[in-house]
Amino acid sequence: MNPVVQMSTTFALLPLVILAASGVALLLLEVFGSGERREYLGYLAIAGAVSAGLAMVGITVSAGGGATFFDGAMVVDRFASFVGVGVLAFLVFAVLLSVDYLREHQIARGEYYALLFFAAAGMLVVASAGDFIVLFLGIELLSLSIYVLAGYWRSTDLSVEASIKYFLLGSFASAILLFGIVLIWGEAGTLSFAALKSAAAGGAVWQNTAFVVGVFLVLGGIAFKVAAVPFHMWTPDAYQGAPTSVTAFMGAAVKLAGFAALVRVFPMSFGGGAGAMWVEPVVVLALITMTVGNLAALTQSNVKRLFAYSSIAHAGYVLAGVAVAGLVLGKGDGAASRDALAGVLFYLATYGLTFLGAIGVVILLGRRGDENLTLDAWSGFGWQAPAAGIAITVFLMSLGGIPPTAGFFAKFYLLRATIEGAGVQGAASGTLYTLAIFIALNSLIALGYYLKLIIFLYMRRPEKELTPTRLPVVSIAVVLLVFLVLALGVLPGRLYDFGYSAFAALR
Amino acid sequence: MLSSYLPVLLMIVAGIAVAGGMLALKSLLGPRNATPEKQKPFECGRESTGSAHARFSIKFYLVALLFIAFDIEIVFLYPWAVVAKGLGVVGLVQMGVFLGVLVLGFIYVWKKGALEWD
Repeated sequence: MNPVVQMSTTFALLPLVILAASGVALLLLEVFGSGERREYLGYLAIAGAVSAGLAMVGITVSAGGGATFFDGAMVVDRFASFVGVGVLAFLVFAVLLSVDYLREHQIARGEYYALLFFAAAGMLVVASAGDFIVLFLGIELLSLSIYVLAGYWRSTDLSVEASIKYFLLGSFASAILLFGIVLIWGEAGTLSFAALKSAAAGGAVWQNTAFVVGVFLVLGGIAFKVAAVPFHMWTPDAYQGAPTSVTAFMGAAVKLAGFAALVRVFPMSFGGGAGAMWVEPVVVLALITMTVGNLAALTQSNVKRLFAYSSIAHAGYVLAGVAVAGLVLGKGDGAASRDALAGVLFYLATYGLTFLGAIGVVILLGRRGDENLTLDAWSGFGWQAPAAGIAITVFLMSLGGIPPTAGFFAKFYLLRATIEGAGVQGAASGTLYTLAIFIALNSLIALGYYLKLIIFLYMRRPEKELTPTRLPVVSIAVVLLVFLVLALGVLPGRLYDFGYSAFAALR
Repeated sequence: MLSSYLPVLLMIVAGIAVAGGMLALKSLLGPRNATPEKQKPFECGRESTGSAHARFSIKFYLVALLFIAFDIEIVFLYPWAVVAKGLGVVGLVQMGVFLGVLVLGFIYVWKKGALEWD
């Protein structure tokens, strides 16, 4: 136990320190700053988020391989870098979406940005967790901040309802996760992912009932965080009730962090191999999550609820990628599982950008006093706000998986890995083909409601006049996101390779 | 494998036996003379007044939460104080950072007016 802080540790923790310091600084500015003008807090928040992101990029570039800190409790490897860069990019966009939104609805305060920053710090902790305690700490830090953010607009009933539902169900899920961790610790005698990896590879622990129950409880707890059916009940209410800019952050960043926890714990630590009992449950979760999410989204009449159910369906696709990795890990040379996990990271990154963009357009079309959240209200908006109409069309195409958008390659990589895995000697090809068929059919169902939105935007008689308003920062963010979604739809290789490098050593 | 859980089962049985036994002994051995006063809810020995389901001001919860938040932080000082000599200056600086963040939180709470009753 050496209490001396090494220089490299300080460097590795730099993004976390920047986030925490900016959060505290924003809190203090909120109370010491002058009363009325809150706008500069938003711009300071943008600066803080960008500098944390730059620090993360610096770490990614300089620390190529894996470095561990605090006796292995924190790992800064390529996986942590990918998730960290993703989270901070989402944070920057979430702050950009928030500045105008909060001003438009007169709810701008420093606490909002501070909570966003603390949530992002929790996500970075999740990304580089080296054992279960650090993972739990990160999940709690991000969850507690998001519970409060969901209820941030406390003068509206829906926001309070979203917060209390998310909090009650979320703390229950945390307890389940913690109980699972305790069982795993009791049976395996360790909480470190590295030690659990060698224990699970031996195969003997999978004969131990209490250990398997612990693994299932952990799976349930994390499945709640990523909103997998049947742990998804909170999602539509939380996404609908939370302030729209918070919804954007939840759908992009919380999902990425949740799946980071899932990938770190299951494929990367428990692995595949003989008798790895987490794989079949994840297959089942994936199949029902994408199907239920898509079928429920078909009947929604509220835009935010529609995107909430759509996010559940997308969680199902990503779960399918994780399931594919589990099914082929340890069989053949493992290339298909690396492809599947790289596909998972690529999917999460592009889905997050697309979701942020889509919610950004929802913010663009909302007005003070009336957020225009029903499908009927959107009738004819495509003609009244042509730029926003084109932007949301791009995002909906990406969500539906139509080229030349990023969403096409996201689905392509997942399907390719699934088919590739079915050809691997010894892999359960029947299960893999089932997953592939479900992904394909569900993409088809999903087009039903994505195209419905476009029909409302362009082929319905307008119900109301869209009053002009000034939302410059959101507009910039949406333009950037359109560009990114199109760019990744044309040149997906670099991002995919970055994701692939996170799993180079995985067999 | 299941036999290794036998101590847990014994623990549960012993727990039920002790708790249940005490309740049983109480009703078997204890004297019973119920007077109207003894049937009343206990209120510090005074006559009970009003309903127990009164509404409290939300401020009580705020003060209680703040108290717990700052009280729990003090718990972290004890283990540090025990080994403070061994940790030396580095430990002192790290504790200073910890307390510094805490003080910033305190300043925030104070300026926000959460400590004012009205």
